[in-house]
Amino acid sequence: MKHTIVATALLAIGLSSLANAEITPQRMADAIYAVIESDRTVYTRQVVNRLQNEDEVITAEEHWKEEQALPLPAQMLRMGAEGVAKKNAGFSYALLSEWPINKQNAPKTPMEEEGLVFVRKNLGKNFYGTETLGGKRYFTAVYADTAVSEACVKCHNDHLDSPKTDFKLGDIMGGVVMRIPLD
Amino acid sequence: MIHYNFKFWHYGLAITAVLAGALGYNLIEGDKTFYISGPPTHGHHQIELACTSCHGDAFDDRAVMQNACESCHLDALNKTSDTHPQSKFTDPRNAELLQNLDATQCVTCHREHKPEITRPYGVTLAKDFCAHCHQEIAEERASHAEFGFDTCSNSGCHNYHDNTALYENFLRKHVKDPSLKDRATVPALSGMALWLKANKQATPLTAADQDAPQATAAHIAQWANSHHAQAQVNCTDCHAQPEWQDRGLAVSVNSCQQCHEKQTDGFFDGKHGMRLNPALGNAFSPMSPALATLPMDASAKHKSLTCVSCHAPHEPDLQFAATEACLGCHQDQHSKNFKPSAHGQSWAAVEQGELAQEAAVSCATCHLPRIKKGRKVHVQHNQSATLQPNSKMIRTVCTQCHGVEFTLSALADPELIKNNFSTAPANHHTSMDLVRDRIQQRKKK
Repeated sequence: MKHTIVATALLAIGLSSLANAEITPQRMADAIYAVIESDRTVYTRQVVNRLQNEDEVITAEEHWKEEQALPLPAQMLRMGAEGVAKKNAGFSYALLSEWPINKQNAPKTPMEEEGLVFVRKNLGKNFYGTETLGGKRYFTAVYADTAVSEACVKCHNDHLDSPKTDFKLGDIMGGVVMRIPLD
Repeated sequence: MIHYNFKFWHYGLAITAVLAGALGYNLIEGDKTFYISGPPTHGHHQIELACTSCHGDAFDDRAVMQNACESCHLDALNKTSDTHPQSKFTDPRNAELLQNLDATQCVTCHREHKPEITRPYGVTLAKDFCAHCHQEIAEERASHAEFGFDTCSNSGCHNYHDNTALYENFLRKHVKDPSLKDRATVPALSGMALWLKANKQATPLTAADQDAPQATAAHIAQWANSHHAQAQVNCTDCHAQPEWQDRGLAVSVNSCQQCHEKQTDGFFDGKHGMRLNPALGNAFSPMSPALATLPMDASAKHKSLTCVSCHAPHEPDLQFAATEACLGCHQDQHSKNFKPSAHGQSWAAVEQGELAQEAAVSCATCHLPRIKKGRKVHVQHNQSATLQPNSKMIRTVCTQCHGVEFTLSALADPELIKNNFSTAPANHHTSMDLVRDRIQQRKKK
């Protein structure tokens, strides 16, 4: 009988600790970002780099539809973000930069500006905060976006509309800003 | 004799009852015109009495109307890579912009029943609406500093939705195009040739094979020479459909739809066939020139518009459908000026057997263009698809034969459109000047 009570108590403690391990907005954002980042790396290395640079069968171009080419990895990420926006999935993300080719992708909110500077100056660290936009509160996370392939560097350095033309491989080029509504 | 002592409220009650009866009848059984707050745009006037198609039922929320817009228009927007899709604006970072202009809702820019403020393409915002979000454009693009916001959407410059013909790299590639290309042709139709290739063993039907005992000899002779007989389509394949006499249709559109699905879908999406669109639940009779807002031939008012209005299904000839069928109804300035124009002259040569259809221009060449995808060429039967804004015509139509700058210039000139391009355009457009400047900047870099 004693043993049964002890076992039950232990089980209850175990279950309650499991219940306490709730998914915080930060955990959710980190987990989603892990998927976005991994998918993008797979696309960059296994699709774009392999087919464009190693096997040389198709190129990746900014005007990929026109040129019947592959979308650039950054465009792939943006298309994913638009797909999520269409689904009303309960979070949103965008690829932004302090030196955007398309000026619509420059930081707009004070927290975006703060976050992009933070991840650039604090290598390996993410930025987290809360902000109010359009009367709604959001948990906002910013993850550094690094130049992972030569294609990123070359396109940004060569583009007529690029405000910064001395990127090097491994540089922080911007960041992924993710928002989860808190209300 | 009984004398009623009418009191004031009795009269009120009687008037209320009469009014309620009249309004109720109009809402439920009548034609609902009582409730229309103003004339609808040219895009919706044909179906204005299908109120619930757009407005939903009483007390429905705003999302219903947005869904209604999307149910008819979203496919076309997605196909052309809409530059301002709804998903771009649901991102919270744009919340501030949305307070100025809620770009997630079609009705923010396209309000119906407001003729006094409706501009081309059914836009009800002032022409400088781009200023709501793009105030910084002069800093981002010094070349645009002198342009007013009311000129952004000039023909050949920017469109809000479909900019595929105005992409910088597309214009850059065509900056040196001649006015008229050496090889000015449109693709040949591929349907019959591909069918024959896929059905090598099929023996064409002959007059003796016809399966409609009451058919006239003339009809049988025409049919026996047609593509339909060649493709083994017999009389009852079209005429035996139960719907074939519905709604005043000699042969139902559904009969044609069995094989010509893409063409009928296009027809339902355009102004010729929208009243028969299955999404409206068979609420309307076919479109008729009597209902049109454009000038039409007075003698054609009784006509109704189905597939057979333009296509004589027993005949092998598609020439009638390409021009004479159009001019049988359309009598606006642009249409009336077609025959004397250079395009019209080329089509006259086709009719006299002196020129191939692919090397000439009919009404259909521009308004029902041949779309080539891989080896397949099909005719876009939604004649409204490339009309508004007219830069939609650049890629699909004009540049088959003409250079891009010549095309931009021609489409930006309303007088030229009215006279059906009877005189040459200037072959100069500001958009191309901007592109030439960018090419120079690129060289310097």
